[in-house]
Amino acid sequence: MEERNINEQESLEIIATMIEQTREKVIRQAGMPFLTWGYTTSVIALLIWYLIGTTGLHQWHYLWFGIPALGWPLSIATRRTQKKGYTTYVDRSVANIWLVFGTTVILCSVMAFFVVQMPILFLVLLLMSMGVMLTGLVIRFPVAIGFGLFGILASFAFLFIGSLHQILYFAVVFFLMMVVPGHILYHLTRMKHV
Amino acid sequence: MFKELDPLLHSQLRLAVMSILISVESADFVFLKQQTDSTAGNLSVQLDKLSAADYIVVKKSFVGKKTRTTCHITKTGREAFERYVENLKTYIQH
Repeated sequence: MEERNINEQESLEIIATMIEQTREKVIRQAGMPFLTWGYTTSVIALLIWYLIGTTGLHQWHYLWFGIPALGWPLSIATRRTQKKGYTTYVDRSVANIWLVFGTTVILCSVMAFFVVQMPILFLVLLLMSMGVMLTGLVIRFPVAIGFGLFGILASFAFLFIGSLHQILYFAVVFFLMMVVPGHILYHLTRMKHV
Repeated sequence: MFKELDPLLHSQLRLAVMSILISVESADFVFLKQQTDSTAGNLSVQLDKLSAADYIVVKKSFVGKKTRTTCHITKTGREAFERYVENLKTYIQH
């Protein structure tokens, strides 16, 4: 682009193109928490399910704390490598959604482990599904809204499933709810720029 | 009746910059340069013009040893952009 006068039609095209390109970048960035937390949680849940299933030792449940221990550094690392070059209200809203839901999930997990018994996998999945759905609403991405709703509905099944199968079911639902929309989001926006 | 278009905005690069800044809270020089596919010298001149008209604020800071130039749109700039779009509609409708 250069400094030159334009006609009215070109003006409209410039405005539309610039706004749309910027929006696509913002949306693609919003998909990163889905991938980071989706993969971390699914992989650790599968690991716990496998280890308890093969050894019978319930101490493997302490590995749940590996999710924040691994997820936070990964989140920080991906933010640093992305070097976006801009900030938006959408960014801030999405970050705040995950801060609130993430903190609540950690608090619930600590309470469930050390203070009082509660259906923790049900609560975690319900809270994270709400985070996915809210993010979808903020960035106006129907796939995330749909998968978030799916997660909310699926979480209620945890109230009826036996303990070890709960963990496998949790890993699968989490993968579907976060990793799948995260990849769809990333590829959709990437394809438009190829 | 055609309404007059703000000459400061009615230019390819300045309009592109304003269109980006209207969609974000702030953007740095490198991002604006990439998005508009412009040269650093030209972009710098156009940012100065927008800043002189109080349409944008340009801030320079340091990230480590490198300087970082960040821009954000002002209330005046936002109003000017909205007025520009409104006036543009009169041309499209005829």
